[in-house]
Amino acid sequence: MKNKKIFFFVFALAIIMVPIYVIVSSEDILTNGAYYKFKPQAYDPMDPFRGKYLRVNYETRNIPTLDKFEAGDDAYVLIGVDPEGYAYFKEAFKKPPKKGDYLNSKIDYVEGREEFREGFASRNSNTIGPDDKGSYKSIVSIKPPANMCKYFINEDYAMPAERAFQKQREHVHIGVRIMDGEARIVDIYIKGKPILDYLRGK
Amino acid sequence: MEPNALLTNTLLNFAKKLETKNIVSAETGIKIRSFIRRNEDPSYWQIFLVISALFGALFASAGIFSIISHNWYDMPKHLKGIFSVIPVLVALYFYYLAIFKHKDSKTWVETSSLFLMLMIGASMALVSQTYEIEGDFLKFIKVWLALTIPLFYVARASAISGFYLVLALPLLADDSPIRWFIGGEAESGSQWFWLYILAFIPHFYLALDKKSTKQSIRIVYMSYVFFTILTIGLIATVKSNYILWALTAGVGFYLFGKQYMRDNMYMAMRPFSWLSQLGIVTVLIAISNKWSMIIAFGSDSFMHMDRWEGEEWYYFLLLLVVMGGIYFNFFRAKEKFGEVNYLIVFAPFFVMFCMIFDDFIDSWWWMSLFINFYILYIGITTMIHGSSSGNVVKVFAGLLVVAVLLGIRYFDTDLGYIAKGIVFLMVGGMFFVINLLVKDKVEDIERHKKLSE
Repeated sequence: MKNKKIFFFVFALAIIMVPIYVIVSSEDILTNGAYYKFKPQAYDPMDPFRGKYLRVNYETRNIPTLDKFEAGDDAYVLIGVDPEGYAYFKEAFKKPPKKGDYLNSKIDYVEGREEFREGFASRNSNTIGPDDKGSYKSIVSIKPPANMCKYFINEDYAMPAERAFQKQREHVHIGVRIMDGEARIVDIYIKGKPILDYLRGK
Repeated sequence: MEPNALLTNTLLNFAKKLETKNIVSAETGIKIRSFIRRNEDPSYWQIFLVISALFGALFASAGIFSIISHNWYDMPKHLKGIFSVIPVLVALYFYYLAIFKHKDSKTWVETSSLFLMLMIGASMALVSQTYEIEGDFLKFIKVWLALTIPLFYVARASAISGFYLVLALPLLADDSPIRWFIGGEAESGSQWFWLYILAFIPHFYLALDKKSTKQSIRIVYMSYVFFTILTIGLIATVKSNYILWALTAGVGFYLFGKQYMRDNMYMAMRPFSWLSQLGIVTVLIAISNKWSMIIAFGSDSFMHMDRWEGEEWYYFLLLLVVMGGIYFNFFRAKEKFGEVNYLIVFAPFFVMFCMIFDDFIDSWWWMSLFINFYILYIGITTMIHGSSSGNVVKVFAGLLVVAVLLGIRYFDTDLGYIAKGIVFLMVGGMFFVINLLVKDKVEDIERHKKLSE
């Protein structure tokens, strides 16, 4: 009986530690992670276990790299900030970069150097100088980094949020905190207000 | 002694007398006594109690999932995070009560285990909702299943096995077309699925009454789920020698059923036996025509191993190991399997023989003839055996095998219309003869019944 009790408490502890670990690590990122603003797109699907959420998409294409990647490889993506203050995926690495914040991701597909020159130059010419462009080997597309793509929302606000998203697309940003390759969404902001405050007219 | 118990004893003694005076066979005597005990047995009411309580736990959990899905936005994240652990704490409390205060109550053990399993998932879902963690579905399943495994061994709960095994199925997604249905990333093959199956097998084996050839409803339930999930797992995992794998797995299931469940009263209570026989006959019928034979005896055959690459070799060698294990166990102590159908047991060897033979002859026609006669023989012997043991389901099953085989052959046999017509007239006539024979038997039974009245 005593052994059974010990086993039960070890088992109970293991069960409780899983959510506790996620809570503690998430709180750590939300408290100590670097804050970035991302420009998103969204729509309103539903998760059978967790309710309504806004799917948030990011620009994950045309990321330059000096490393040689295959589709499906792990990648570390350096975060850059454009002149307007919005974050973007600046460069992909095989190993975590020593300077700057980065996110863990996977390579979706690899494009050639020619596509890089055409596609990348048109989008990111203001962030990387012409000399830099010539030195990159290729450009890659990454899978959207984990934990940045679903914003769970109260069921009463899901539809109004989606509509507000579409109407105010130019004034929406996602607040994300990033630490050691992990990300957590702080909130979605419309015209600088947290989305629920905006919808309630606060 | 209570009146009901007295009546049961009287009926049991009467059944024993019928058997000792050779009025009924020993097998029928056992069936009569099982039937009498079943009507007296309170275990059926216990099963009802367990099932109704399981439904209670299931729907209560569904309600909790739904309330979680509302997303309570007015609380700060850290508070929501703490609240997300509450479902699992409540479930742990009920589980504690079950294993320490009500350990002899199957209803408590099974229901609290199911509730705890579902609340583990609920808490994980709630935390990920709170912190907007999109998460990888397959990782979520892996953690959930890993935390569920101890429930099989702490209080020997079995009702959760259905949920556990069905939840393990998406782990095959890395390796099979199932991925198209559930999405997810191709990551590491199906080894996680097999790892979780391996973690479940000791529970199933420990729950078996190894000294008996009759098993409880709990084992029957787990057998159905286990058979289904294992079959899907094999279909998704095996990459070569499909026909031999299907037949070998079928024989393994068949012998396992014979060893431990052959005296369960109803066919539905002998899942391994009837499902495996159905599977083996279906596979044999499937390879019995010209076009399917080209595939079965073509690149899938071990006679064409010169075309194989590493993967085919791996699955072929594994198949030989599995076959060796099954037949070694069979020949080591044949008596523990009772009466077996050798046509079923040696179906893989028959197909292996066909594969070898096919390599030496040019005409597919001979092979087709062999396989069709083999299936026909299975059908006819099943009917004969069913008739002699008074088992009408068996007679019907044999008849069905013959009818399905001949029905398919009617449409795909490349014979002239007249020849085909004559052959099928003869077959039709054969069925009428069978009908007349069975009619005599039925009349014989009715005559005896009237005489005894």
